[in-house]
Amino acid sequence: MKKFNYLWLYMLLVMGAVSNNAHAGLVLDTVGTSVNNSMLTLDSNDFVAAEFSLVDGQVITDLKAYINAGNSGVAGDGFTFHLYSADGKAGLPGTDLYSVDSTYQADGWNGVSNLNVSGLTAGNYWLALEVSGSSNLELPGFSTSGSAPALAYAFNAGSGYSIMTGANFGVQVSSVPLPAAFWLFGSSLCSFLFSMRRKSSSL
Amino acid sequence: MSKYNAKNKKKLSVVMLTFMSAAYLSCFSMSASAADPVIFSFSTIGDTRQDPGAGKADKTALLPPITGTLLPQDAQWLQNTHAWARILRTVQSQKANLLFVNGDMIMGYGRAAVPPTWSTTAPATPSDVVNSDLVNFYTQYAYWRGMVANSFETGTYVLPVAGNHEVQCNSANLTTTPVLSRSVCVTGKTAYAENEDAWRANMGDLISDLTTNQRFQSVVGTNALNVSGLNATTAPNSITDSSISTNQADLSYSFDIQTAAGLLHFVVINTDPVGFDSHAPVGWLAADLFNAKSRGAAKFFVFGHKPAFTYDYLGNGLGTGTAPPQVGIAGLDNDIAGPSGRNIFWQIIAQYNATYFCGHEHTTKIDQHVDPTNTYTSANPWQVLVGSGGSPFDPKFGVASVSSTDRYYAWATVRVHQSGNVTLDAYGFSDSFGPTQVIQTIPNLQ
Repeated sequence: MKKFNYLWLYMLLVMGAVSNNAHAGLVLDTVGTSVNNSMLTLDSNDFVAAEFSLVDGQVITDLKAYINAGNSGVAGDGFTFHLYSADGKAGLPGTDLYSVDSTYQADGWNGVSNLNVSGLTAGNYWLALEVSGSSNLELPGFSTSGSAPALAYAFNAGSGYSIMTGANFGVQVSSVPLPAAFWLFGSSLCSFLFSMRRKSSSL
Repeated sequence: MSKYNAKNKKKLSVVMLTFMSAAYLSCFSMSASAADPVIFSFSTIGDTRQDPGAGKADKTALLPPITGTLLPQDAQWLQNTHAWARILRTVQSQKANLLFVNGDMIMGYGRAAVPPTWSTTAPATPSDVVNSDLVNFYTQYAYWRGMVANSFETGTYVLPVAGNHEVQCNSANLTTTPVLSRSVCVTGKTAYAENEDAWRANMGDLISDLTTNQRFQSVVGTNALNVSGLNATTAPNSITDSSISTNQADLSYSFDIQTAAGLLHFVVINTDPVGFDSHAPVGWLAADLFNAKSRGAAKFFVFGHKPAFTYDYLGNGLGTGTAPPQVGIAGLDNDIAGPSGRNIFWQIIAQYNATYFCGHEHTTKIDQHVDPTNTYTSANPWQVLVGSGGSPFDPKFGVASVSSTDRYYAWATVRVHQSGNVTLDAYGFSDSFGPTQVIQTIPNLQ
């Protein structure tokens, strides 16, 4: 009976981990149904950022940006996602908390998955798209917002971030409510304890 | 066995079909540039100078960063550093091989000569000297050269195009110059030989390097071929254009760039030669384009300062009317039907399906114009007006104009693709210095 209970607990933990990853929610989703006429540039002099909020303990798992090549971009062009805290001047991007490189592959969604960005406290953050190399990409604007609109947009044309009005771009941030690492660690710990117990009872 | 083979063949064909469809779809969804890479590119803009004139700047009561405001830092050097520096940074990030600046890089508008009064009355104070037209020209050139110097370090070679502010004297402007520092010029706006000399003295090194190649090839990645116009014999002269009376070396010049997509031909023209203001050297241009085509040039790009077709940004028709206000004719269309007038100029452009890049009007307009003489009707060449590099906008703040981007600081970047297709993107940012945007795309310029 005890053996059954430990097995049941282990299964539950693993299922919990799996289901949480499968149901990662969008905490930022700026893409609506149609593209408007604006087309922002993304190059080593022109960065953009969108502001969103997190509750305590959320873990970011996926970052995506809606990117077009235009006439100059090519598959493999690099760009970087930066996660800033909103502690800059007037709540603009401040401390650079995390960054991850990505590459443009084709027009549409481009980004990185299976991240585990944890340790974030409740508050506002900025997700920025920046370029350090020679990439020249374009960011279409959207006439309506998606399921989790940005709190604000900002741009940096070489002299720091400023609030951007009248233009937007497509970006998505997915998160899970608790650290995925917690579930993995928990499941490993349980299985370890379970195996230790079996070992000691057999002695 | 044969049944087995037939079954396998069927399976194989299904797999092949699936693979081919997937390959086709993936190619289809790839961007144009990924399938057709850029092999050469250039950017172009005009009119980066500032203006000290009363009423030229708009929104003067507001603090920067506001367009048109003459910043204290720019008052001496008369350059819109705020806009121009940002444009330069983005052009550098776009990795253009060349940057053509289509005139009016300096305020100029005087006579770059020793004032005649100095022969009898020596200048008494430093101010008498440093405020002379001669010193103003040279210091403004030097400041502009300093601003573009970094472009060469990042792979963009800058080529200048003479504008009316470089080669003309504006009699109205002399009222702001100290008496001792003046050289009188005739009423109106007129080109002077000493201003053409000052051009060569301050810009000539950038142009002569097309042949001396001290730096051009290392910056651009390839050398210039078939360079013309670097001396009085190969530049427009009285033989090619009877109205030309002064040395046009370095003011109108041309060269080729060999690419995998064919030979590209670039031509720069002075649209205000001495004695023939507001005219293109059409005789020289026709011969130059003919020669380029004869040696196999496939794409033709012509750069001048004044537009062939004035952009009516108010939409009230061109003219001098005030109710409603009209845009005055500002370009080569001051002489439409003359023997060297606008129509002949555009006929030549149409004959070679060239693209004409210009400035002068402080706004942006990119549109097509058919040959007004109906001689070459198969082409519909583009005029790319990008006089939006920092000079006070012609469409004034708060006054309705034709396009929402009329008051954008804007430039064009042209890309030659492997296939030979030529694309153009116009980029810009608003008069309140918003984010940089793509404001117009032309998928097939030539």
